[in-house]
Amino acid sequence: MDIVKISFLAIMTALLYALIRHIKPEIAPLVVLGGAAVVLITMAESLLDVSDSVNDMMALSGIEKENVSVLMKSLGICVVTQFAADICYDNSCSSMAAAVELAGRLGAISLAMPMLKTVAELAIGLING
Amino acid sequence: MIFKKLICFCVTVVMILAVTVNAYGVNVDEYSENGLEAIGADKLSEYLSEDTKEYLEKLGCGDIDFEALLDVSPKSVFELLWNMLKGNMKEPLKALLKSTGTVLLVSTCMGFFPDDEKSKTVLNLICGCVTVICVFVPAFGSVRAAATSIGVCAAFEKALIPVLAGVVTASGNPTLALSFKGAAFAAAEFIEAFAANFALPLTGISAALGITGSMLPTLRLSAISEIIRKTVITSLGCVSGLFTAFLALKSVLASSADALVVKGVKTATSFIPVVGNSLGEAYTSVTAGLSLLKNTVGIYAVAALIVTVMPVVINLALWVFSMRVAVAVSDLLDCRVCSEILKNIAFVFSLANSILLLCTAVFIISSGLIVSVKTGG
Repeated sequence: MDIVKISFLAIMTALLYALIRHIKPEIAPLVVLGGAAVVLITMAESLLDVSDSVNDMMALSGIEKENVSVLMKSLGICVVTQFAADICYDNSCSSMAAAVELAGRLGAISLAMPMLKTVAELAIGLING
Repeated sequence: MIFKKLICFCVTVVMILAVTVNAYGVNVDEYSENGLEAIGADKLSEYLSEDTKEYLEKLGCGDIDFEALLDVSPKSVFELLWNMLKGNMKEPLKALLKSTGTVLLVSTCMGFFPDDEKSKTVLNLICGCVTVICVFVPAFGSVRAAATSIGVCAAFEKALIPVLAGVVTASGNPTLALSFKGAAFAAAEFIEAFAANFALPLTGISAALGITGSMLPTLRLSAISEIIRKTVITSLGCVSGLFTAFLALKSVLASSADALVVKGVKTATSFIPVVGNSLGEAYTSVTAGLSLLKNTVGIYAVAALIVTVMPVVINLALWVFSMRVAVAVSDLLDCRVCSEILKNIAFVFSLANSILLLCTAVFIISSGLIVSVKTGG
């Protein structure tokens, strides 16, 4: 991941957006979306590397892979949801943003459902002694 | 004249041979073995687990024998403690490593959303679940071990009470034996039921509420959890204090009553002509022998109780230590959700340990009281 490249790309996208917004406002969001997509694609490789390193570290500390993977997936869901919601908010589409946020939360919770079940069972076990 | 002297000598020899009796020195080992068998103390070890028997063997007091108990050296005690520490170290240290890893992971995840409260709420829940599953689930067995140990100690105490009561009765303290039997049996029953049905479930409820509260801070469950903790701690202290005081007072009163009877017996024997004093001395010798038997059984029981709970106590203490280190790490990384959960987990271990220690203390004190009472008043 080249942070200089990404920063330059982000600034250029923002300038382009500011320019196009006055000339052709209907295309302006697409410019932002395109810029963001390019940034995300640039980051993807580094994200995979980071994910592998985190997995290795967690394996060393003895944490089960399934738990780490649930946490990572939830993190991914939250990042994507926030990104989508922010774009919706930028385009004054708050209802869509709220829907995306709700979907994201639901997705993350449904992913963590087996874990919640385990915790609930543990709590019942604790109460029953 | 010589003939007369010879007759006198012969008569004296005949008289000596006719009136003397054979006297043998007591074989202490045989006496002790027979005594233990007679009071049923030899069956006490059946109530102990194989591990406890092995630890007692290592300590040098595998059998109920006063000489073996006398030979126990501080070195063997420290060696046993070190072995227990080494044996119980692995799991808590592994959990410390795991919890540190979890804290790092969670704080990394939280770092992605420094200002976004909505994402933080969901992630808090998931991170909490990860922490509980990674750290607490493998440790749950240790909490169960505490409950099991209390049960084992109570069963052993219930087997020990009739044995000690028997020796105490034989050694001239029937009132003490009667009061001890009733009070100690009630104490054992009550403490076991109190720990199993009140203290440990309440600890579990408090921990469950605490963990849920730290995952969902908006629910504010920590206040209820705190009340439960205080209730458990206060009631535990009260119950153990009351029982100990009750047993101690009853023992003092009963042994005083027995002392009066013994004095009466000794005074009555002193009036018997010629052999009065000898009878009194014989009575003292018998009570001294029984006192040795009683103290041997009592001290063996105390050692067995300590050895039964010590591995669990050490294990729980190590868990508390590792959880506190993990709390410090999570505080350092400002990972509040992990910190709260780990504090709750540490609390469960520390309270389970306190319950176990208090229950054992009541059992040990009730046995110790009997050991400390002077036989024959």
